[in-house]
Amino acid sequence: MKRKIISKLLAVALIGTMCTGMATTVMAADDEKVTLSVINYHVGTDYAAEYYSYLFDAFQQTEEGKNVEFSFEEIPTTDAFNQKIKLLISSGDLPDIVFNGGNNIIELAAKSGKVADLTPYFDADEEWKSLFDETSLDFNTVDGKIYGVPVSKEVSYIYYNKELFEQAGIEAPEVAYSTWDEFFEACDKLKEAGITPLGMDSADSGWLTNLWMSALIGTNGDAGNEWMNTMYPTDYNTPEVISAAETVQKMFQEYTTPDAVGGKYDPMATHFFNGEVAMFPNGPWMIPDFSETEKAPEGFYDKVGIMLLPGNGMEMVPTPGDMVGATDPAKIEAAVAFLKFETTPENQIKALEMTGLQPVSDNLEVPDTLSESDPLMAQALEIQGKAEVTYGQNQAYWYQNTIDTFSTELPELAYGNITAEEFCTKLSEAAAKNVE
Amino acid sequence: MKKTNKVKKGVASFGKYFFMILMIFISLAPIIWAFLSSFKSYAEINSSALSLPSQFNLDNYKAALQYAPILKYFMNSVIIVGISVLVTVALVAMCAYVISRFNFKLKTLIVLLISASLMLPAQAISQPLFAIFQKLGIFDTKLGLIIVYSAMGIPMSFFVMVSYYKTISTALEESAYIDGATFIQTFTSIILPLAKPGLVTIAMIQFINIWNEFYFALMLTSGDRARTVPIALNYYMGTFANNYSALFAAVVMTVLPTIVLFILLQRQVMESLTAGAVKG
Repeated sequence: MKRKIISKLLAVALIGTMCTGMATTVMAADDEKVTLSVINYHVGTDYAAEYYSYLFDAFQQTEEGKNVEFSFEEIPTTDAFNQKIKLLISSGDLPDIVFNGGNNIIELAAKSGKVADLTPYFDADEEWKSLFDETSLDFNTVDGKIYGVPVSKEVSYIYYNKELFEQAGIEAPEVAYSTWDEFFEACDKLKEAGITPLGMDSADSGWLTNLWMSALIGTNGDAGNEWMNTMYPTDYNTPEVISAAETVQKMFQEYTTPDAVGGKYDPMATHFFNGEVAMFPNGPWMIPDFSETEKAPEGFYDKVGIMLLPGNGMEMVPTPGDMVGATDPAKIEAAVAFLKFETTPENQIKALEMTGLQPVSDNLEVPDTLSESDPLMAQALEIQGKAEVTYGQNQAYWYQNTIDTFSTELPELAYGNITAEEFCTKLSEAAAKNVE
Repeated sequence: MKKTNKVKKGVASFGKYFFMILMIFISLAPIIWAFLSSFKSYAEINSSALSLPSQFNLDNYKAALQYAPILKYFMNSVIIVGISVLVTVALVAMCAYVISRFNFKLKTLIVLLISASLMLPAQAISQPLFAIFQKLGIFDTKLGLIIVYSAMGIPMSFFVMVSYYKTISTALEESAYIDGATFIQTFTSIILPLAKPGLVTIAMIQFINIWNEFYFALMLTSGDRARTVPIALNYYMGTFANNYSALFAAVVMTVLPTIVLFILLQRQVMESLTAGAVKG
């Protein structure tokens, strides 16, 4: 009896083993399928959620992507994403495609040895490589090897309310005010007409004020421009930075809304949408908001004009790119294929149309339809070619603790509790902590 | 004379009610504000924080449900928080009792170790936990988070309960032992019922802490299986694309359980907070 039971068990075990073997064979026959893990922060209300959803689906329709499946982990917000990705870099559990959440993690990832060197893929595909300028690739290069594929550029300009300019009797310049003096003359005229000239903020790293201050420094001669294009500056007590801080103090005190001190981006953007401030610095990703009736009043899009910063200046920084965390050769190939797809000229234009993400490639052929469907975006693309001076901005180039100090000390500067020199000294002290 | 007393009483009564109404206002204002904001549009929220919504409809609630798997995360939160609170309370109830009543070798060391765990920042232990959980196969599971949250709640709850047990007279236990009760019987039948207010307090503190915990819920999960409400709330906070209207709707939906729980348990909490002072 016992023997019978044992032999039955053995038979079941044998059948089980055979089944497993068959399953393995079936899987082996289907081995061309590659599953790529991705941590995606373009979810929820993220401005690019819809575009990335399109991108993943569209890639799977291509020859290179037809056998690729994606396994997603969703992490809403770039802050949360950056926290997690740093943990994964140190633990060595990176996803196959590593998106870049704004914080420059290229160096950290490259030095950990957990991301693939993409130089051979760029070298083997000259056509792809030619889509990127040298600055963008250099920004994603560590020790001579390219680790990140930049997918966009960051640029910003001044949006202005044409109706408010008209009310104040000001004719907006075609491209930009040639000097800051002219710019402030226009601000004074707006003030005289009872209109608040500028949108500013100080909380959450003071994004808007950062754009004004970067422009004031970056357009202040060769020395200022060089300083504003320097990665991780440590000396803020230069004449150009002090002068910019003085002007920012004046802008807070005379030309902006009272809630700008301590204010965050969203309420300040609402001031602009509601026609409560005349000028607002920001990037092209804001353009879709102008026609979103949930945010701006109907018809607001048509009231907005674009100009460069005084002195034909424009903030332009290369962005840290997406990386490949896969180690399996087939997965690396598939991940690179996705990154190539993400940066095709067609998809760069698609991203521009859907999200306002600025193409990383210069001289892309912008479809004629854009000037009809989104004339403001077309104008933005056109005007940036007229920039004579380009510079970086603090969130891309400064040490993180210096960015934080900038934000926390802005109210003190605005209220006149500290002088511009003292403000700059505090920034220098914060930066020095990174090099001690 | 009588008139003066009446005036004095009237003033005192007015002062008392004025103070109570002020306290109620301070406590309720943020909840009412969040509730009203959940019906406002993006522009209304950003234009004036204190204005009333122009209309009352459920559009923001619909949007909240559309952007994020809020109900799934809500159920995960209920399960994870519920079990973690029970585990913490059960462990602390026993551990704190022994520490408060008995002297034994290594007692000081045990108390020191529990105190030391209070000082550990989450960031310092996240990577070891991440690696250990992956090895054990409990990464991205409710069990993993339950273990972490239960452990996280122990130190603070432990000190609250040790203090609470010290307010209960030892004469009660001595009488029970004289009547022939065993150690277990004394603990479960005499001490635990008396310690109920203290246990409810630690349950409340633990509930609120875990319900709002974000960091470990993010680091130790990778999908919808075990993620909790605080992660869901992040879905409404995209870069340059915050949807405060939906966020407030989600906050209202997820904060309600905490409020209901507090209303149900408030008597016990109040008792526990005042018990020490009465018993001296």
